[in-house]
Amino acid sequence: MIYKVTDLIKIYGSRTVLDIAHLEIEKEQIYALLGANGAGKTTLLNILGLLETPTAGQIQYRSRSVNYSESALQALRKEIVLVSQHPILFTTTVFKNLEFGLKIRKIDKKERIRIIDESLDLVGMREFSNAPAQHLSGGETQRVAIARALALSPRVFLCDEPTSSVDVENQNIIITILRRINEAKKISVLFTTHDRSQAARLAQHTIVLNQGRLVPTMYENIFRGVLQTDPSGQPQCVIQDKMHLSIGGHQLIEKPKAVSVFIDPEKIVGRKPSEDPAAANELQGRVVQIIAENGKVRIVVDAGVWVALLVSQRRYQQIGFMVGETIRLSIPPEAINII
Amino acid sequence: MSRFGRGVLGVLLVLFLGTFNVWAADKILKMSTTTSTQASGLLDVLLPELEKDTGIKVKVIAKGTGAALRDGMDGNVDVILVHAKDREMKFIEQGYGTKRYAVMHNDFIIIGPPADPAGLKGSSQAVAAFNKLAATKSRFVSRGDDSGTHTKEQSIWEKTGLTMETKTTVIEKKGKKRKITFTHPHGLGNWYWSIGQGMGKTLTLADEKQAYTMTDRGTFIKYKFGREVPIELVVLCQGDPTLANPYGVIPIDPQMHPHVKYELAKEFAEWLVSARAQTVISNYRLLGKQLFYGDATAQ
Amino acid sequence: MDLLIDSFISAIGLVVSMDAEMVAIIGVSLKVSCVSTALASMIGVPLGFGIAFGRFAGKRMTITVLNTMLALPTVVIGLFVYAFISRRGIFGPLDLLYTQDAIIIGQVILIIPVIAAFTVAAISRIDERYRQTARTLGANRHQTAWVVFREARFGIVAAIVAAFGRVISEIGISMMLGGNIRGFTRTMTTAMALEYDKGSFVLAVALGIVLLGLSFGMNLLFHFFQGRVQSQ
Repeated sequence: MIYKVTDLIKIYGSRTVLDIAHLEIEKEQIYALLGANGAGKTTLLNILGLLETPTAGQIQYRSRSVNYSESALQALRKEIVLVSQHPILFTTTVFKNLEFGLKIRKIDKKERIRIIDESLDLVGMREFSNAPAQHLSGGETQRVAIARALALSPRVFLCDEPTSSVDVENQNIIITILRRINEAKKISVLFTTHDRSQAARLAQHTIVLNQGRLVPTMYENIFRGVLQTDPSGQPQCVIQDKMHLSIGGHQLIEKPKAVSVFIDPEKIVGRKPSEDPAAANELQGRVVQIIAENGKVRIVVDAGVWVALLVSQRRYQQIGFMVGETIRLSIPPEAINII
Repeated sequence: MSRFGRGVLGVLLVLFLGTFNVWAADKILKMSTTTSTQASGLLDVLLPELEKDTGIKVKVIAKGTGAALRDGMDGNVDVILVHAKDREMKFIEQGYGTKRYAVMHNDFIIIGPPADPAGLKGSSQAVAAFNKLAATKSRFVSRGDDSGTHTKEQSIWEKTGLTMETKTTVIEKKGKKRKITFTHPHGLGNWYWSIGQGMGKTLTLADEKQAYTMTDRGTFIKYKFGREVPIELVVLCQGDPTLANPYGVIPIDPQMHPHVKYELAKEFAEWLVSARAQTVISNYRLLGKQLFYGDATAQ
Repeated sequence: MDLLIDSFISAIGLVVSMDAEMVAIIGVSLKVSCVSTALASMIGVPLGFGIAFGRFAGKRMTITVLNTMLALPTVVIGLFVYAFISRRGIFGPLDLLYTQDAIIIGQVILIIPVIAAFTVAAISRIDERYRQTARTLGANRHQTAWVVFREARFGIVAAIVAAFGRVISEIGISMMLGGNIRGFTRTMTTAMALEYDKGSFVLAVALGIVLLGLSFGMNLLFHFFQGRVQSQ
């Protein structure tokens, strides 16, 4: 385990930006950190990259608690590198940019040249070695920044939105580079993104943040709702005045309360529509999207609000939904989580 | 430090040390004098002769009379050469200088527009001329800068019997501000202008305004005969003994300032009143006109 | 008008023929100004760095004071230093008054704020990310400072050029502390003042031409370096 995060809290001014009770990151794996803008991805990345200190909580790196004194940090920074979303290269040649970190580590000249050539090869920028860094395009800059970080032979490679500000061609190159780094050099890779499919393609694990907190999966099926009692006295949750869902249990709700609700897509049941009237916690909607994902099938349904369900391949083959078709969804109370 | 950095440092060190006084070993005197003395050009001829005869080199710092005396009082120089006899005597009385050697004199003249509205032409009585100026309220430009010339001018006004007023003001000359007090006849700002400037600027202004002024002969000669476009003002009153401008050289008293080069200053002063120097002084011609008259016989 | 034109023509002649006295005067100006600029840079640039990077209470006040000192008139500085190095002053026995060193001291005091303030400005223009990048690459405080220095190099050179332009054309300090001694502390500006006072304009105009030429050249240089700053 390369990172272990416990009770991490980060506060900016009056805003709690991160609130993570527990997070473990395995070594030599690729992790994707997903979340909308402002969810806290970059902050978490900066904290793992030792660029920011937590307001409270503990970070363990390689089973040792991180000591935030300058000297200890400097030692750790030799193992952890971070490439930011808009990396900045020093105003000199590409070669000298890569040389900087190596010189600091007092690596001799011949070895430096070897390492730099190798790193540039890995990102496919070898012929730019003597070019002024300021003349590179966005994608080229990103690749050089990656090479610069790689040259330092880190254990952990952190990347903030590596493909967001880059053209499509370079996007694929960068994704390939990241995969190569992990496979060939056994480096732990952690990158942030707001692109689900990119996360799915590249990462073995996905961490999802929503407003500073870990959530089971990406920001779908998360709604704002009102918790209240229905006419029969049972607790219920009303989502956008369209869905009235009974949540079970015997809580007594004194007065209506606004909450955030997460509906577990794996627990929603989809069926062909029937003539029976809609039962409690049932709704109808039209299929708008079907995507194969990590061995499962994700179906997005427009039922007034967009709801996603996750079914196994086999189940899907049984039912055979199609885009544009109207289906019936059943949301059992245990699928509903108040967060 | 990189080689480049060390090279730069080395060059700087050499330059900085080079500015230190290499002359210190030689016989060097620091003398303060007036700007008009320096401007007359006499020193450019006299000082090389001094060096030839005695080996003494003189560093000349030229300021207004008041400032030159101050440098003497503060011990910033070894000897002073000024032309303000009353103040010089006071200087010695107060213990700053040892002895006044009468070196030479030049003279002041009263000049004005060729039209001469006050009717001064041909006169040789300075006090009477000033009275006429006051009576006719003819425009008069005074240096007003606490210089030797200004001091002389004030002393003549005192002798006219007119009521004098006193004014304290701050003048700005050559970028420096100074506070001075002086006397003047009634009419300041009206017909009597006090501008707080040097002789050159005073002449230029008087010429522009076709006004009267009192000037030393040397500056007048330069502005009248030494320029492509000479001033139009002409000499209207000269020869009065009161207009004589005697120069005195005074070594600074080593009892007041032990560090001054007293022996050297004394040698300098004695050379100035020697027959040889006196000849050089009297022979000096500015644009063909004699400017200075040796005073050494009157010791 | 004739006066100006005739003087101007004669002055060009002086400049072209490299009149000995004129060259000597220019030499004094250049020497004094170069030394004072160099000394002030060695103090002012690190000072600017310290202010830009330092974390201390009253940092904003310090910057305000620095900017105020930029407006100090040369005569004020001249007077101030004169009080110290006059024979009656504390450093009197050092015999500094009316020497080139005295002018250098005054000029150094004049431009340290200039260089420091410009350096602070140059550094603040440097993207914070350069610092962060250096840190993530493992640089310690000194190495990081060096990175910022390198990135800000054009702005800093521009600062030094601006300072040189300031001292080569000042008169207050040169006059009060140098004494305008011929061949020794007579600078271009003090010589011009003297010549004007003497009523002879030719040398003054010649020196003025050289001074203008130098100022113009310095200005061009300054803008060149500032231009390189923008293009970064």
